[in-house]
Amino acid sequence: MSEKKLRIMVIDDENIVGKRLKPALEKSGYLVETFEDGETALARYDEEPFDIVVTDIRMEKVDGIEVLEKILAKSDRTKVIIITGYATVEVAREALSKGAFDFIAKPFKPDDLRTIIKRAANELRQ
Amino acid sequence: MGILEKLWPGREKRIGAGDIRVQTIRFRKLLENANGLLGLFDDGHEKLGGDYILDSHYVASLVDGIIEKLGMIVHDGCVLSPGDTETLYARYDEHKTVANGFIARSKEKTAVPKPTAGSGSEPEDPVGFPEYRLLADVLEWCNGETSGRTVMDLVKQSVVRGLQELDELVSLEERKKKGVLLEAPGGGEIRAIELWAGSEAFMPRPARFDVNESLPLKLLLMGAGDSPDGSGSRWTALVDRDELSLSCMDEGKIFRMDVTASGHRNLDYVFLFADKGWEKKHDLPGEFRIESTDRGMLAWMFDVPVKAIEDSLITIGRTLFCATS
Repeated sequence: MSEKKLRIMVIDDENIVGKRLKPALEKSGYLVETFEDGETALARYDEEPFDIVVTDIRMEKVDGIEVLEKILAKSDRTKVIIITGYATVEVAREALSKGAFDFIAKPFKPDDLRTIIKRAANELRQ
Repeated sequence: MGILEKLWPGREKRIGAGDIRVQTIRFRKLLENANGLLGLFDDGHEKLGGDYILDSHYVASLVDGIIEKLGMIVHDGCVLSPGDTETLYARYDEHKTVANGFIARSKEKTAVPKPTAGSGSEPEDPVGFPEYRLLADVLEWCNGETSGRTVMDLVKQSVVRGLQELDELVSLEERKKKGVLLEAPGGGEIRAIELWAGSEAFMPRPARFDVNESLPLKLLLMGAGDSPDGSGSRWTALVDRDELSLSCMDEGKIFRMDVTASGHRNLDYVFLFADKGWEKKHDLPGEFRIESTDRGMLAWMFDVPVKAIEDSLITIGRTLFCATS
């Protein structure tokens, strides 16, 4: 019997990120949904939880840290990966201290994110 | 009178206006900023390849970095050679306007391209995305085909301008006969001046200077070997342990080189200003990027392992002191 596909949520207010990540991650066998704001993403998460959440840190209204906190409050099983911008090491450190699985800085290669997601997937399957 | 002096007839005479070491250090700072700027160009070209996922913040940040570095380069060029700075600053202002236009574009919400027919998914090819089109336009502005109006054109102007004043100062220093006189391979001579020495120093005790104390000079001379049939050229060299600024003092010859070989990749570079076609005559190592100006050839090598810097110095030294150089 084949393994159930992991569900990944990508949140970034720059739509190019979701548009490019979705096909890249689907090729690796994941189910991917993309969102351009934290509010809509959290509402969708309430309808149906995701295994992995990849979220930009700087967004209007609901930022990545708030997404991280709310997701982990709903389910500590979900792995949250933070996308940081430029020179935001401090923010990345804060995200890790709040329970983020890992972070990746923009611009990045899809393969670099796939590696982090693979690690997260391995932990989820243990 | 040095050859560079001849190239700029009628320019304002400011001989003796500055300390050769202070001005050389400033020129080297200008080159470091130019290296940083070229590094930003390279970063943009790498990202444009499509392997990376980027957003409009990246492009805006790149434009900010470029205009900041360009401002520092123009400033140093004007401080080194203060006459008629208006033209350079006016060009810089034009570039700032262009940069502001790019940043405004980066904030526009533009429609994303439609999915490829039949793919059932969003397009992976980044070329159609507005962020990549913007990045392509930024790189065209930096160093594209629009001759005379690019960022690189203003960098070249600033570098050449800085060299004008330095040439005068080096010539003056040579006439004063300061520094330590060393034998160069092939019957020439090098007048060596400490780059970072205090104002009283200027190597008062010639016997104490050892070329082995300056790695770039040592490697150049190592490459030259004994060269019994050398050119017999005269050189002025501002030297430090890891740094060298070398100028040829012969009539009719244009050659200047600035080097840092510290072992730290982000600091090390080789810069050359020479007669047009110098690289063709002397097999300039492939890592150099060449830019031509109406005054001569500019060549840069940076962001390479220190071994590449060292090898290039040996190669350059091999041809620099021989009879055909």
